[in-house]
Amino acid sequence: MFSLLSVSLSLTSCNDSLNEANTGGTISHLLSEKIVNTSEFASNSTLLVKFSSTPSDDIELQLKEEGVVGVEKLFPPMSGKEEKEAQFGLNRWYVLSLASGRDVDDVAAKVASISSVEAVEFDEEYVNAKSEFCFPVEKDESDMSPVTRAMVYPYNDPLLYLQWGYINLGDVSYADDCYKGGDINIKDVWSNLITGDPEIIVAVIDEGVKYNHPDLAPNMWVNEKERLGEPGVDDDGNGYVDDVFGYNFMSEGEITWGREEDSGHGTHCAGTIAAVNNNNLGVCGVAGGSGKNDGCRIMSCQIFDNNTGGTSTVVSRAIKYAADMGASIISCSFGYKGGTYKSDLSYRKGNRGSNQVEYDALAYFEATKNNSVVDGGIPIFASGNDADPYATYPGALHNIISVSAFGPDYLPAYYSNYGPGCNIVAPGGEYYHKAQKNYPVEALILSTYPSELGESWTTRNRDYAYMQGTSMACPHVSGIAALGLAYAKKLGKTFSTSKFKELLLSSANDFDSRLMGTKELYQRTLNLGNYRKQMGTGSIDAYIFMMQIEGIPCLIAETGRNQWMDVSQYFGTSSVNLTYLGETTPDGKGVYCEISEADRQSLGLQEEPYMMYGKLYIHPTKLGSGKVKIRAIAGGSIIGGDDAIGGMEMTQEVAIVSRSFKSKNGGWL
Amino acid sequence: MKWNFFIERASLWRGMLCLTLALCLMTSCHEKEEEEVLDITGSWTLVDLYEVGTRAVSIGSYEIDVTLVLTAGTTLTEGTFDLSQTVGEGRARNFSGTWTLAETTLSGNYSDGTSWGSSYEVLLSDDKSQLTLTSKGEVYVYKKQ
Repeated sequence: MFSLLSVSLSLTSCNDSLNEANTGGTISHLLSEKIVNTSEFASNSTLLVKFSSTPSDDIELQLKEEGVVGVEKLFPPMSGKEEKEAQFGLNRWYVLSLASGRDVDDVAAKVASISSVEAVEFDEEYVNAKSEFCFPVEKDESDMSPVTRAMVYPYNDPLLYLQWGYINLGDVSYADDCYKGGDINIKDVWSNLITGDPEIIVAVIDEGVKYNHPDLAPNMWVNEKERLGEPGVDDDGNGYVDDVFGYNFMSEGEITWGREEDSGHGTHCAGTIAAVNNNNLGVCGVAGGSGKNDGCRIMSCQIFDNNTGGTSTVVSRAIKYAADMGASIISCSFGYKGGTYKSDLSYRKGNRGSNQVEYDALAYFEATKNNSVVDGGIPIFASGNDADPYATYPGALHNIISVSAFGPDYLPAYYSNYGPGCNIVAPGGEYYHKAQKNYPVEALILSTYPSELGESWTTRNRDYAYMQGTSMACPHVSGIAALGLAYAKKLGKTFSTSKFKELLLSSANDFDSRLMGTKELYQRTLNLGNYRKQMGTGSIDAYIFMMQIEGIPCLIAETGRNQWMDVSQYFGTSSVNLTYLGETTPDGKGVYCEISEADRQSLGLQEEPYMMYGKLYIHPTKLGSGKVKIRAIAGGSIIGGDDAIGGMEMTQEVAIVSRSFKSKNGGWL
Repeated sequence: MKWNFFIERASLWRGMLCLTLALCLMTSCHEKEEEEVLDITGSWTLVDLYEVGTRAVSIGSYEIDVTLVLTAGTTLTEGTFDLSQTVGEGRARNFSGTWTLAETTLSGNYSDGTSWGSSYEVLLSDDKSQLTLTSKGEVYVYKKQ
């Protein structure tokens, strides 16, 4: 019996015939299932293939007969990572190089007919999400006296006063309606809590980062084995040669940033994350340290080069490299054009995006622990600049953070995507900020820039520039996430990755209360009502995030009376605008929360607690304590998934202490 | 005259007796007053409150940690306080203000003008090591540090 079965399997294997494609409709359907995208925007010289097991010599021979001239593993094997690569199937992805003149669609169909082939992807090229605008910085130091400046700004970086995204004083020279406090609330975090940590590494998956930029160099991640090794040799054996500050996955070599068609996008994003602080030079970075070599580190994973877009191969390799080389966060200011996909499933299996391998690589990164705080990596994406009412993928994946943008007026930026899949908002700048055609560049985001690209500028300082976009909002959140990891590490705290993301998303300020009427821009008008409840949990607040990491105070309830508890400490000040999950109350207006029987007894509850209008209703009848579990959605009214684009579920356990009295200021006595 | 003298002597004796009694009473009252003024100053740590766990008995993962430092003013019946509390959060929140002790009733105000959530009946253990504050049926037990 065993022998017969073995023979049968062998025959099936031998039947991996390239001619299966012609044997009927069912087979054709299976083939189309295997081919996950189209060749429309893809390379015609390579194909990506996922096998169910390592391809045998017979299979390789068959491939060669069909014009495949090269078969190589997509991900260079890395010593010590074999088990994990196998867990996520990364060891089964191969790149097939085609002989010139072969029709890539024809070869794909024939490769898909091989039974040991699980998926075939055309190696699609991505489009760089460049900033629509780029302007030099023309102002010099602030007019403030040194004494006043020192009181207002915690660091001596001369251009910090122009970075309204960090500290927005409501300066009307940036914008007529510049909104004081419309920023990420970072000042007190820098002054009192944390400024960075060299062990927390953020990979910027983008254009190349100018690693020798004077305001970035001290905070660049350095691969010491390669720095001290032989040029042209893969000294650390990771499959990449001379990857000292990261790697250029597009050109497979030295990181570049100043070529003719480069935009400086990667260098700009890197500066927002971790430009060196307090060095008396240029700008500040969110997690850039205090000038004592204590900033978080930037790893450059270059996927765009001279305006050539990275392919699926390039993006996937970059994500895996970030995981393998120690990055805790990947900051990804790129994505597909909005609306290409409308659900997680269509993204993964869609017929116009080669996403399967990229999805596998993201899963690999999310499962890689590179610090002592969380058990996996944290990807953060820009939501997209098409003004679409949904986030773009991959950021729109329901478990990935996607960032939308606001301007200096603390209102949605005209270009920002919004709606399902958009999880949180951060400063992104806005050029057409005034209704008159006299745009102040200061309304955009100022950060580091490769001076090589500004040679035509007449300004003196070409190391810095203004840009706008959700691409600029994304690194603000990446920097705050890095600071959060650094602070948790300092406190010795640990979290699950999902909990850490929930804390980040619930560290938000109310953004909806100002979304009324219209916003007038040059030759366009925004109806702000369209953005209500569409901007995720609200605007990110670095200080609240640090407080959440420290631990949230228990809510003190009074025994013997009905009361509505403010849960903004747990869900941000936009808590009233969130969609809560659970069984609805009989009137349909509220949602019941979960509480254990023991806690119900302890608090003497005679009716179930529930959420309504963003507040927790509870009626304890005795001295006691308990925890109430509240579930909400960050980014839309439904949780995203295979069927639809949507938000991320957040769960917070709210601790309640019931006493017969409480002071108004929260004091215990 | 003698009678008068007798009277005068009697009055004198009576006066002396009254004075002695008065002195005795005053002394007695003073001693009694000194005995009744509680010295609740010092550094106190909350170790128990009935029904709700503290410190050792945490609320899930949320611990309650309260330290109260009472400092006397010009008398033992009033002074200032420093309160350090951790009620779930990861680091202590600090408050300060003033307190007043009227017989066995302790009340106070925070420095921001907010009054305490309640006043308390005070019971000091014989060995002065335990301070029990009672309010509205809730009992908070503090140990001296």
